[in-house]
This record gives sequence, structure tokens and C-alpha cells, in this order.
Amino acid sequence: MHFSLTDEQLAFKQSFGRFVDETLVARSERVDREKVFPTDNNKDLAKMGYQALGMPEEYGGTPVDAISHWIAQEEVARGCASTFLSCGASAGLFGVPLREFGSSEMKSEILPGLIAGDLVGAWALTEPHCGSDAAALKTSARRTDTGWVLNGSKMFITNGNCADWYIVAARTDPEAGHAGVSSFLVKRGTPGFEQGPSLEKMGCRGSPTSALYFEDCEIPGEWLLGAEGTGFLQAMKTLENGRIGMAAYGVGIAQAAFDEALKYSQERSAFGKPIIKFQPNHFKLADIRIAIDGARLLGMRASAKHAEGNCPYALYSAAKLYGTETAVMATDKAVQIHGGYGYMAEYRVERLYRDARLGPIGEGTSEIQRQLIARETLASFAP
Amino acid sequence: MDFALTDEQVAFRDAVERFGREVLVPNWSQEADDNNVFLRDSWKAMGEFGILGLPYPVEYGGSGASAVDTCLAGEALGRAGVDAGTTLSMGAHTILCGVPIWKLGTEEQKRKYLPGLASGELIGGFCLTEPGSGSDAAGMKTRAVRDGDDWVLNGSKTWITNGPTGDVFVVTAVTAPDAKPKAFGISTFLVEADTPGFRVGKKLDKLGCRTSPTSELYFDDMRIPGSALLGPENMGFALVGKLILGWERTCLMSPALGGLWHGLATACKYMHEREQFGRPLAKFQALQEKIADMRVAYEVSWGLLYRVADLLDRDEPVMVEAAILKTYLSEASVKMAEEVIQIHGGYGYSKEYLVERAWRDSKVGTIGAGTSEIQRGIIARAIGNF
Repeated sequence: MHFSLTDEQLAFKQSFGRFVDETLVARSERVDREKVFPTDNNKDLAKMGYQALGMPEEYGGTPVDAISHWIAQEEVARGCASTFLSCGASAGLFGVPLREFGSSEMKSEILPGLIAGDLVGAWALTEPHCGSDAAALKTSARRTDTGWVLNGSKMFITNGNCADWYIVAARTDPEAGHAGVSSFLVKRGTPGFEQGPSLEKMGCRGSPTSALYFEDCEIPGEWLLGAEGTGFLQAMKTLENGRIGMAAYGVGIAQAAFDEALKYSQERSAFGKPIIKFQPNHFKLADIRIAIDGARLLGMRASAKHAEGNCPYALYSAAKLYGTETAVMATDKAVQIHGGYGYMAEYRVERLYRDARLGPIGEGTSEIQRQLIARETLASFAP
Repeated sequence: MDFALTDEQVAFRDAVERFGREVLVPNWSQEADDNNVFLRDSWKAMGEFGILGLPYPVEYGGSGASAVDTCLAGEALGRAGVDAGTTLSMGAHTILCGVPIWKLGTEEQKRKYLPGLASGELIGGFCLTEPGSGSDAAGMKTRAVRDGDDWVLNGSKTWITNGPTGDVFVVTAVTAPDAKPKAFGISTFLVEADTPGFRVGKKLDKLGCRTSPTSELYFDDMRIPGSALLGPENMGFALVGKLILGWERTCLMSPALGGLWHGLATACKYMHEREQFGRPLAKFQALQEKIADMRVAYEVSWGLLYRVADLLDRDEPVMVEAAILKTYLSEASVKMAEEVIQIHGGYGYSKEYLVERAWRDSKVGTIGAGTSEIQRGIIARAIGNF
């Protein structure tokens, strides 16, 4: 048992953190205001090797230990939640299933560009009528002589209208429930595939979200990802990574809120002294710190166990649930410490507060996480 | 970062859990709890099992266990469902009394007390709090004055765990009343209960941890030899604070981590058995959410606890990390114990199920060894550098 970072991990955290401060943090206000995919951040992160982490070396990837990968994700989230979300959807939600289930031809075609930041990926599971109940999806894929025809629509797709490649979950057998779902690679520009306009969102505004529409969209047979009928299993595997990513998202945002609240409470004076000296304020900082430490240790542990291949489902979900709820709590307290200024868009905490709110919703709501944790825990004490 | 336990550690934890379940748990009775009875059979068994002196070096009768392993043992007792009175008495004895002797004592002091503490023949305690000073511990009034080679102590202490049963106590007293800050005018002494002038006050009736006896102690012109001074004069408080509180807030709290798991297990089993509206409670989502929150609290606490234990083993500072752990774990314990009662409904409110005891026992966590408010102050001052 050992609870410290190695010298290499510490050095990585420092140098990567500096890069994050100079680029992502510096651009984060603009990214939120312009509401477009931050191509510069995506490219700069690629130069730093972010999208390469954990990807196969033959496609330009770099092996990485679980803790360093966690550190990188947490730092990106601290710097810019929109960038984290879009790059995470590209390299993670899209890139990981491609890495795990894709043919070598498809990997050769897409992964090098994805890792270099030249291509953007998106992952499409949710539909207008089904979010948490993902297996109820209706988008259909019908076999043809040469491949498949997709019909249906997707909703709340991160990078929906700016991606080059998509992984789309669709039903190949209407009778088979979970086992009737398959996943497909779809290239932007394929006839019959349209992207909706960017949806107006509360936070993460620099990460475009849109609906997708498939109308008799014909795709070749080799775009089927993995075996037919394994789409739902693939989605669950993808979400294991996604949940660790969202835990890091929460911890990163919470850390940013903590940093801002600490700085402000030391600078701002009221009643003749810095406001940090007032117990209700510094107790808030203590509460944020307690939750951040707990969430970070939990997230790192889930990440380490995931890399070893022995992470219980409950731990993925616990990390995601606690990490994202920590961000909501932390940003709320940080806004409160800022008083009226915290309510103004001029201050970073206003954006962090909006960005944090995605956490308990995206990639499995808090309610779904609690259900997963409870199910596994109850089962372990079954008579 | 390496979060894994070795096979030996898992085997050790399992052995302690079995010992707790098979030997200690049956010794507890509602009657003993109602009447504040110290469980002497459990104490003797713990001494024989070798759990009372775990961290002390082997040459002083201990096992030379690391802080991590000491916490594993504490967690195991909590998991087994050992009542928190038993583990509190053990903590006050092994950690609060024994660790200062081990860390600050002379060779003679260590030889004199540690083997007896490790075997359980001696019962130890720690005296800091006074009627007028709790959180403001350095505001204590108990005075120790030199008289020739001896010291003479006058004053009183309160909320002393093992007060009525203890044989030896680590006692803090003011030795330099003008020191600023006050913390640098306080020394620690080893006081034996049969010293003339040592008097046990009334046994205190408590909400929980009732098998752990608590009392006031009085020192009336109590004369002790110069050799009873523990650690450097006037530095007792500062050193105890630095060396001991980390252990206290970690190893002493470790049974609470196991207690969270035990509460979770108890609630899950009940939810499988109990049926309402034609289906087991386990099928109701509102109750499932409570189970999920308990599991999260356990997993978060796990990381926070073993982080501090690991830092202690590497002699690194733990002040902030220990305060973080102590606040989170103790508050989660109270909240989760309450939820376990809620899941049990009327049965939870009755004494028939032990979940009511767990709730009463848990509350000491947010008060003893520095209240939650004191912990938050420690964390905040470190964060804000003020």
C-alpha cells in the first residue's frame, strides 16, 4: 500500500498543469462564450500527447499508467470543462471502443488522425425518448447486400455537429432486447446522415451538442464495430472508462472552484479582515477540500483497479457519483464565497457552477449510478 | 499509488475479524450496555490474542505492526460488529496511552509499561480534557509543580476513557503557566492509579460506547517522581499533538470504517429478509439509494483512512490529512447509522436490533479527539495559511 505519487508522476502533474494554466485556463472564458468546438485546444492537447494516452503505439499512441492518465484528465477538466468533454468524447467515448472492438483496417484509418488531433470522434447512444434506459433505443440498422441501412435519431450527442467519425448504437434485432443492439462507425458526409444545430446548454457551452438524424443512411459492412449484437456490451465497457473520466471531470472542476474560492477569500476583505478569517467561509473551504481528497483518492483507486482489470462496478459508479456531486457542492460553495461577484459571468466560478451541473446527469445519472452500486452491494449480501 | 493489500494483510484482517465475531461479540450483552459494564473477558481475550499492543516494538511486548496493519485490525473489529465501547477502550489504551510512551518514553518507562499494556495486564488512559477546557485544550488548569526531584499535581480531568478502570495514565498538566503560546508550557506525565492523591470521580453515563467506562479524575497534591515526566518538559502538549493525534485520528477511528461496512451488511441482509407490499425491501429504490450512499461513504472513507496510515508509516506529516479523514468518517458514520435505523423502521428504533446501538456509539466520533469544528479549523488554517 502506498499513497503518494512517484517523482515522475509529480513532475508530469506539474508540467502538464502549467500547460493547462497557460492554454486551457487562459482560453476557457472565450471557449464558453464562442460556443464552438475549441480546435486550438484539441490540437494543443494532441501536441502534448493527451489523446495518445493509452492508445496502441502502432497508431501513434503512448502507454500510460492509470494514475498519470487520471492526473491528465483531472488537469484538463480543471482547465476547461468544455474541452475536457469534447476531447474526452473524441479520444475516450469514441476512441476507446474503436481501440477495443475495431478492425485493424478501421483503426489504421482513424486512430492516427484522432490521436494527432486532426480528426474528431463522437459517440451516439442516447435518443430523444431514451437516456438512462439506453437499451430502449429505436434507431434501426437493417442488413443489405452490401452493408447496413440506418434509420432513426440520436440526442445530446457531444461533438454531434463537428465530428468526422461517429460510433452509433442501433438496433439490429427488434426482438432481442440488450442483445439486439449493435454499434456502427459512421463517417460524416455519408448520404442520409444529418446533424442538427448546436443545442443551447447551461454549461460546457464550448462543447457542441446536437441531435443526429439517419434517414435510409447506407453504410458498408465493414463499419459494423465488433460482432453483431454486442453493441450494448460495448457501451457498458465504454462507460467504465467514461465513468472514471467523469469522476476526473468532477474532481478537476471542484479543484478549480476551490482554487478560485481560496484566492478570492484571501483577497477580499469585509468588516476589517480577509473573509477567509470568518468561520462560515473557511469551513466551506474545508468541506470542499475534504470532498476533493475523498473523490480524488476514490477516482484514482477506480482508475488503478480498472487498469488491473479488477474494478468492481460499484467502484466505477461510486467514483463517478461522488466526483461529480463533489463538483456541484464545491462550485455552489465557491459561488457563495464570491457573493454578488460569484453571480457575475465575469468571474470564473459562475461558469464552473454551470459546467459542474452536467456531472450528475451525463454518462449515467446519479440515480443510475446509485442503482448500480446498490444492486452489486445488495447482491454481495444475498442470502 | 498502490491501493492493494498483500495476501498476508488480507489474512491478518480476516483473522482479526473472525476473532472479533467469535470471541468479542458474544461477550457483549444489552444488560452490560445498559449498566455501563466494562467487558473484562473481552479485554483479557484481546490481550491474549495480541491486539492490545500491535504497533509497539516486539522487544516491548508488541507486534511491531505498521499503522496500516493497526488500522486493518481496527477495521476488522468494526466489520465483525464489535461494540464501539470495546474498541474505544482499546484505542484509548493502545493508542492514546501506549503510543506516547513508545514514541516519547525513556527506555525505563517503555520497559516498565509497554509489556503490561500490550498484554492487557495494565489498562491505560490519556488525560487531556478538563471541565473548563475541551476544544481549547491548551487552556487547561491542572498544574504540575516541581518539588525537589518530584512533581506535585493538582487539578481535575474529565471525559477520561478507562478512567474508572485504568492503572496508568498519560496526564497533561501546565508546567510553565506564563508560556506563550500556552501549548509550550504543558508537560506530560505518567501517573499510576494507586498514587496517593489520585482519585477517580464519578463514573459518567453516556449516550453510546457504554461498555467503555468514562469518568472524571482528580489530583489532590498528588506527588509523583521526576522519572514520571514523559518527554521533554513543557513540550508534552506540542509533541503529543504532533505525534499522537495523527495516530488517534487514524488508528482509533479505524473501527468506525469497519462499522460502516457492518452497518451496510446489516442493512442489506435485512432488506433481503423483510417484505412489505409483497416484495423484499431490497426491491425499493428509495432504500437502494441509501445502500448506495453507504457504500460510497465506505469507499471514500477507506481511501482517506489508509492514506493517513501510510503517511504515518513513512513518518510524513499527517495533520491535515488526519483531520480530513476524521471529519469525513465520523460524520458519515453518524449519518449512515441513522439510515440503517431508518431501513429497519420500528425494529431499528427498538433495542432488539443492534442498529440503535450503532447510532448511539457513532456519535462520539464527531466530538472526541477534536470536534468536527476543530478539524475543519485545522484544515482551513492549513489551506489558507492563517
